Amino acid sequence: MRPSWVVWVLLMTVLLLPVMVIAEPSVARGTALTNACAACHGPDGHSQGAIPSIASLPTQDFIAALKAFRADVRKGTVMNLIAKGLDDTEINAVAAYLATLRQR
Amino acid sequence: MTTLTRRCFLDLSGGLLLAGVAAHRAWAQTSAHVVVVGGGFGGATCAKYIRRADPAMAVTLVEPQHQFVTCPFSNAVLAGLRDLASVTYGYDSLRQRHGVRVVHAAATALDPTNRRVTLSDGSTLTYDRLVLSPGVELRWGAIEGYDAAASDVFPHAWEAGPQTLRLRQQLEAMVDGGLVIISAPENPYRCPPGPYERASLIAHYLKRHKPRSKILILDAKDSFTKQELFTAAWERLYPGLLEWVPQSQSGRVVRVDTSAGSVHTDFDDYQPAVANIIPPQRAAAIARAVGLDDGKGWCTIQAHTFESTVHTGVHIIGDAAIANPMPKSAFSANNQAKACAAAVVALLRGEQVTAPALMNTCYSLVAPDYGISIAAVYRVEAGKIVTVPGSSGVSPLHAPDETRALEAKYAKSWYANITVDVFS
Repeated sequence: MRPSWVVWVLLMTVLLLPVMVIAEPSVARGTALTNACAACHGPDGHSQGAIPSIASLPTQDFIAALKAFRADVRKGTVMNLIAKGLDDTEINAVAAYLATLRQR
Repeated sequence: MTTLTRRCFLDLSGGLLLAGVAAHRAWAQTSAHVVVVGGGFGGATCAKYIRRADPAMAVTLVEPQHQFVTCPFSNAVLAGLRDLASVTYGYDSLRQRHGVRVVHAAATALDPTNRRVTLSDGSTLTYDRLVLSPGVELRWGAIEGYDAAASDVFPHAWEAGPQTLRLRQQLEAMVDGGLVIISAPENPYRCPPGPYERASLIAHYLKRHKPRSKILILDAKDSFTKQELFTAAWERLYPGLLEWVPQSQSGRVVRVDTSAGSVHTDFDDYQPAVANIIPPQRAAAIARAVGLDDGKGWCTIQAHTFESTVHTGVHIIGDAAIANPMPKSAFSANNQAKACAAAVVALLRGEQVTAPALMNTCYSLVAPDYGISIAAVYRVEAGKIVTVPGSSGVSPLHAPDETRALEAKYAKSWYANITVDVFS
């Protein structure tokens, strides 16, 4: 007997629910992580000197850069280490928080 | 609308407990008072970030000094690369831009039961939550003959300011061919790579101005942070000028005699032209008051909130806290301060404390254009701070000059950014 499409939709929803919850960037996590980044990248990501500002990086560029550092595809200095300490949700949370700062 | 909805809900439920919680929350948001002791990288950051998170909270920062001289980049002052004014900060921005009340006095006593702090001017402050970030105390007498008076002759320069200038003046006055001794303490102590960065930058100065001189690092340890990187750089930049003597080769300084001008290990006696004695350390006195250090010399904290495991309502951050594997660095203090600020605000509002974002990055300058680094990200697991696998490491041992030059630029940029983050 073939399950109806309703059963499939229900099944997929139940299976994907935890993923959707985890993937939702948390504002609190984004704030906490961005505040930590400020020690090197400056308050709210506005840097003085050689360390790049992250304040005005487009969201997708920021996410791509962090993932490239994490995979050692992009060669940095400390960022190859720091990025390995962050999961996708956390990278998205920082990107989302930086985006909200730009809208203020 | 939200208020109305909440009120309707309360009226409907009629719960005394809920009403009590709501009343407490309203009170907490308008009149909670946090006292922060210590105006360095930990305390000043914590005071600022509590006010940033909730401008309704009253924050009093207790710090005896009117100006703060940073230990980071004070080694550049010793080497003549910077002046002391360039590493000196005031508290005007914290007062004027962030609404922190700054009291220039020392905290002399604690009463965690009645939530009171006594200050050196005789006044008392009551708090809803207390954050202690007082840094370290140098253990006078731990090295025989090394006390506050002896540090006038053999400076420690481990609290930046007049001690930094004294050591700088001695290096400038020294004739070419003199012996400089730097004694490095056992773990744990403030700024693990500090003695080795200091030796490097003094070597940079001597190489240019007094090239026949020699630096001996007499160490109470057999290994140190970024050791391979420092050693490789010394062999290349300062051959014959700088030598490290580990504990196992009679490196531990056990006695000094300032009237004779001598420094002693178990088997060797030295007559240095300049001696920089960095003594063993422990948490500053106020963080050891009322048993906060549990007799250990450093304070045990709960990793999520940095609240003491001994007394409720008291948080300890920075060098005074046991936050292993986080090192006792300015970066760690600044980072812990933000985590603590978020926890303090959440606890006072009766909200859930979210996971802290813990990380550390420390740059060391081996020469003005030669920088090396160490970095790590941490998580809290089962109540303990642990390093996230793969996130911890140091600069590569073999790297082109451009990488070292870039990290030196990053070191200076880090310093500019973190001091803005703390004091502006």
